[in-house]
Amino acid sequence: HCSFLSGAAWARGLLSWARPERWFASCSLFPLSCIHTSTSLQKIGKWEKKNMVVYPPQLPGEPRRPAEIYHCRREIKYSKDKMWYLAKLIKGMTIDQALAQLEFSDKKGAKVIKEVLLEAQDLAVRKHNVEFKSNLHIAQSLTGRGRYVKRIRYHARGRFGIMNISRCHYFVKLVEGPPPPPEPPKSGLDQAKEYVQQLRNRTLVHTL
Amino acid sequence: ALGLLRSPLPRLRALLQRGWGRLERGLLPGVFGGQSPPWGPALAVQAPAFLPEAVSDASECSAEAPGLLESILWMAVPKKRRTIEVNRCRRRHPNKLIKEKRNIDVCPECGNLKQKHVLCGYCYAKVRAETEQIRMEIRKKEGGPFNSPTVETVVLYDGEKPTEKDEGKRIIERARKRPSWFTQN
Repeated sequence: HCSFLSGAAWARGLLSWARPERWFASCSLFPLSCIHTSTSLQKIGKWEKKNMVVYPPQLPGEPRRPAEIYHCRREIKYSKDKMWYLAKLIKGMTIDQALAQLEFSDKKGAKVIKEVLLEAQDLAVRKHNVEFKSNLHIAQSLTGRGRYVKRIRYHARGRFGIMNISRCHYFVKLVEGPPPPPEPPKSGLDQAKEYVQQLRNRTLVHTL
Repeated sequence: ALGLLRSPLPRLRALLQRGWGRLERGLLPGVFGGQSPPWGPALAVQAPAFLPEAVSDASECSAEAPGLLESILWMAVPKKRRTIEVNRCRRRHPNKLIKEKRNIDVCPECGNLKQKHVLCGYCYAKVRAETEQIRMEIRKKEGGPFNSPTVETVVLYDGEKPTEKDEGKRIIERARKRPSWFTQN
């Protein structure tokens, strides 16, 4: 896949990926030699790495690939189940609509998600070559389980329970362009036709 | 159950030593959780919610004990574990999802979002800040509590003179230009 980059450009690309100016503190003279000895933030999550995907340049005839921005926030002090309701609310909306809904929602997670969306919108305009900040829609919005901590919850008469201090992550993918039209609900006739088609597609297996 | 547990602590401990063995064999299931040792506080007294046939307690309230035992068997308890499919059906039912609000508009004054039946948050904050400043001026003028005069108050900004209508009123000066939303008289 390096065919489109010449040898010098490939080396330059490697060096720019290695980003030597960040490692001046640990080893000043030979950047390439300290690729494995630098201190990095513990683990770059999979969602953050999705932003680093580089596609080959598009051919002249192809339709324009819409820009995708992946953003997330980790270890939010909120429950993942409660956050899921907010994520489900804004799935498939335009970013302006989503911000409006979140502003007037009474939930604690709404404030956090609003901040995340504004950050993502900012990133989109600055780094991901998005022309209009309103031309974004939310393609995916997910929640994940963060690290739980167990604590004792004291009951009456010397009894106790173990409670979980739950945290969650929130992931969002913004895509440039208007949101896709919502699917029309399936009518009974369509469902019946599909069922009949499934029955017709059955074949005999392991036979001649 | 609380009536039985009025007994003093040493009697409770003696009962525990007798009754715990019986409990361990599953005679009466423990009601409150947290029985596992690793997380237990060292000094907590782990007493069950209800004591088994207690001899010493029979003198206190004999009529209550058999009623209590019978009522234990009548307690509502889940029969089977709710599967994740059933749980999902309940948690994702449309009546539990958050509904989209259709009463959000744009404030004509500042351009921020506002709900139709609610004052615009930004404009309200603006007004609140100015009111706080006016109140501080009033506090400076009055000097202490219970000093408010029995006449009306008029707020005048930079370069404004009191008119003949503001004859007997108390005048509060504010050292700034009159805000556009605070109309005179």
